[in-house]
Amino acid sequence: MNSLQFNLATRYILRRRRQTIICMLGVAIGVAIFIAMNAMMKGFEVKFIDETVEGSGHAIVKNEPRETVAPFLDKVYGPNTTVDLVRQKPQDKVAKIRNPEKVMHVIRHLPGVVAAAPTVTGNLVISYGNKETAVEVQGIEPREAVRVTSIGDKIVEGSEGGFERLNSTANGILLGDGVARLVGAKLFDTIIVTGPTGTRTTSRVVGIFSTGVTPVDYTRTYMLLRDAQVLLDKQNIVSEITVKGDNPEHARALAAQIEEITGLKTESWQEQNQNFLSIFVVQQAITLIICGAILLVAAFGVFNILTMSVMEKINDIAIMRSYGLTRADVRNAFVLQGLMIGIIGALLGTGLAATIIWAIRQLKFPVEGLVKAQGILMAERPQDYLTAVISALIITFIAAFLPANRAARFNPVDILRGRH
Amino acid sequence: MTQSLAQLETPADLADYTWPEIVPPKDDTLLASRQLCKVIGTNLSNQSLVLKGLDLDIHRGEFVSIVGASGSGKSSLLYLLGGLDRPTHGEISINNQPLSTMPDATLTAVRNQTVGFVFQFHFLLPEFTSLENIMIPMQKMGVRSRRECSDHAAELLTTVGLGDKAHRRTTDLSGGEQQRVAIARALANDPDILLADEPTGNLDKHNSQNVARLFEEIAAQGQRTILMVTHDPHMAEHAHRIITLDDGRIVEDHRHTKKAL
Repeated sequence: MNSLQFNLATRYILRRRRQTIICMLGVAIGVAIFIAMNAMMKGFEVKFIDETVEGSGHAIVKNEPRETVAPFLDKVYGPNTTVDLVRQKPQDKVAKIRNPEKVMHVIRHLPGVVAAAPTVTGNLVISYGNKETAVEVQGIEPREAVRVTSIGDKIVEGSEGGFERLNSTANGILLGDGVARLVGAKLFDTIIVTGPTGTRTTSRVVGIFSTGVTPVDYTRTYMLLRDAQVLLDKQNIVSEITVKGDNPEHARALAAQIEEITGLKTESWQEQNQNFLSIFVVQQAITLIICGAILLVAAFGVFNILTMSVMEKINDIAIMRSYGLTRADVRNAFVLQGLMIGIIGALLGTGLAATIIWAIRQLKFPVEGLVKAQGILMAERPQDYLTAVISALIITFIAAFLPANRAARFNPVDILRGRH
Repeated sequence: MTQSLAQLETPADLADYTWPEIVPPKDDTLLASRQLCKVIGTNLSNQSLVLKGLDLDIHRGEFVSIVGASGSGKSSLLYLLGGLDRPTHGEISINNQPLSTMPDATLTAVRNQTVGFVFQFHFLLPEFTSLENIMIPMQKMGVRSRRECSDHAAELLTTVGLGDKAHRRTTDLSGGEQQRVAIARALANDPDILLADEPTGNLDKHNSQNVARLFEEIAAQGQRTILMVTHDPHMAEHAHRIITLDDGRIVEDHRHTKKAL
């Protein structure tokens, strides 16, 4: 590229001002939609992952081994043997983590582990007045629980004292705001709680929380570990250990490590939410295809305007070649036009994207889907800007190169003779 | 078997023809061609042999007209002599440098520095002013600074009588004025050879006279060789030497004393 080529390119572009502007707008809109759509998709994804990870912990140690133990009949008779069993009955065995204190002690001393908290889980039915609903209960140690999850910050009613109040109130219960709405219970109301084995007790609502993840808010309740154990008839049993690491991205490795050491099935948050994560992957692919298609249309615009320009300038190209401009001069002059459209269009596009994202963020309306939010969530990420700009430049370069190369390959004599 | 050039008629004949050894041009020859043949056309059915073994010597300072009916190969000869096209057979040399062995890039540089073309249609770049149009070949050569290019271009415009129209867009100039700018552009890098292809073909009588006079002035300086293709006998008369082409061969080559204007 030299100043002569640059000069030619600028003059040509200024000559076709209107088409050039339309072309630039095409690129700008492509880039803007690319960035804005990614921001929107990522906004939702990031929020969901954030809420999930921070709300449920990075990894959960379960009370079961990952592999089913080789059935003893296999051991006795060998594999590939047909054994007819009658009157089989599963063993009455309560799922629990053996010696939870020791397991937690081991986990807490692993590198990369910030905290670990015991949980007993089970199902309850809560009733208030004539309403009742089945819920999931998590029996927790409030002091430990707030260190592994963000639940301590999610209490929307009764937050003064918050989780600690579980300790001071006998059979205190925290309800998700969805659960509270379902049964119509308010803060400090007394509700009736029934355990799976029929244990029944009255319980006081000491707080209402809202995690922002709708399925959680509509099904989850928290009680003190000891109270929950009694209600669930699981005295001294810990069914899960929730672990928080120093980096959610490393949760898979951490979970694998814990599993190896303790021999207990440990699920990272990624594994627990695999179905959602794979939806996000598909969503990302769709976004890329749509954005790619829009950019491709913009590229056709560039291709079109340059092809027209080459045909219109064909005599000028011949004369320039006759007085000493090289094929490279001609090619670069046209490629530069494409790049100018690409660069200015892409820059306009980033500005447009920033404006769109800002405008969407100004829209405040309650959204309640998988996650709860005020307005549409936008994750504005520098790498999306970079990807959009670079893709736009590559694609406009290719769109410009094809006609430019054609212009460079013309034989000037053929043009002068009127045959090309 | 003796063959004569007269037997050479179609592209197919070229393959069978046994050429004698090339006689190199004399040292003082500026522009020479030997056994020059050119086939044009893209496929067998429309190919034709437009130049049939031309030998030509042109010396520094000559003003030569090439005349002939249309289709006689005048323009093809001009393009070949200026290095804009490559011959099918034969050799062209400028200042005793054979063009056939030059790579494209060198040939392009020769066109930039040694040759100036003027075409029937002026082909000025409409996006640029007259001055800028003349500056582009200079900028390509890259010897002069921008300032020097601009000064030299202005000088050339004065030479062709358009000193006052330097900053006009070329689309605002008349046809005659545009052709004079094109001549100034051809002279931009002080070429040894000025090649003109029907330079007055698109002009009225008055403007044609102007162009002819301009060529005579350039020729009178004795520095540049002018080769002008024309089908207009009056125009041809301005030259010192008239070469007549017919069907791809030189049929007449005579010098004459220039008639008084």
